[in-house]
Amino acid sequence: MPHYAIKDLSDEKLMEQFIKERNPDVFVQIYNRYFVSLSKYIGWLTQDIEQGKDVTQLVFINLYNTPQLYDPAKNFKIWIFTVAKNRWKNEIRSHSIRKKHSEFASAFLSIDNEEKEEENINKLERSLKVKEKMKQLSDHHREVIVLKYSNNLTIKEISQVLDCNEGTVKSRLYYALKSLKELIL
Amino acid sequence: MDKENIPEEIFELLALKDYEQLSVEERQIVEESIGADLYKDFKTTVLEFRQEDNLLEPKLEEPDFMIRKPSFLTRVLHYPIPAYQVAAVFVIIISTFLWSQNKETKVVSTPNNSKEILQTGTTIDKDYYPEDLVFNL
Repeated sequence: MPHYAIKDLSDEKLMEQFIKERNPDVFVQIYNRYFVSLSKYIGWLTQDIEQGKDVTQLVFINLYNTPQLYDPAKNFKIWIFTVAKNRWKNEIRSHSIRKKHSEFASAFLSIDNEEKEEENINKLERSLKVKEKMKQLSDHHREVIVLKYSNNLTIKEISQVLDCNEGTVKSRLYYALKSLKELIL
Repeated sequence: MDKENIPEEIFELLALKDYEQLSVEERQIVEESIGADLYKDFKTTVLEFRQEDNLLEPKLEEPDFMIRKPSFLTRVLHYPIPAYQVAAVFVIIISTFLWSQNKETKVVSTPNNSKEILQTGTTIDKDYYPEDLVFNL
């Protein structure tokens, strides 16, 4: 299959193709589309971006080895977010996730190391402030904000990931933004 | 307004536009649901969150679980060899070639190939003159 055709395929078609042919190039497409967004999603939930990456790797290893677990009739985006969240919950239960909370803060430092020191400090202060405030939100509130404004899911998609109705998502999003606003501003 | 019935559009607009950028229709939706002031505050909150979120961009890692073990031939062909070793082998090959060339030249130089050299000014004893060169004047 030509490379341009793989890029143009929907997630569901890619998975269908991968289940049939086990072509690694097809899987890499899926991996590249979702690695960053899933890592950030779990990273925000755990407050540790490294954990987010670890869980995402585990999700993809499992999907690579047993792709038939996915039903191509389902929306892949919703399915993979749900799987990632469940995987994270399982990992917490089995205590197999690395505990490296300090790396979350160090990630900010490493990003800005080429900029002026003063600018760095301001950025770090601001980002730590937002991070701290996000931590103070309830899990439900933090999660809807991340799904909406980091992962850009629609209200309908969020309701499917969280397995609740759209009204509940809108209500949670409203109160989450209100709480975060009061903490930040 | 009941929070469950807030139009979805509001949450989409918060991701895209400042209050000042909204069209007349969009402003009307905002006014009827959460109000301009709250929209502006929410917009600032979303902006702050997104700036933080962008800093967290995790590096896309190589899916190492997919890397297949290379075949024996591939491993042999891709075996790293230091440049000095390659240079040494090259020098040995060139030296061997030149040495063998030199040896062959010596073997090939047969009497048939050699040129006769006429030596002048050499006195020949009378008794050794070739007969056909003796003239009786």
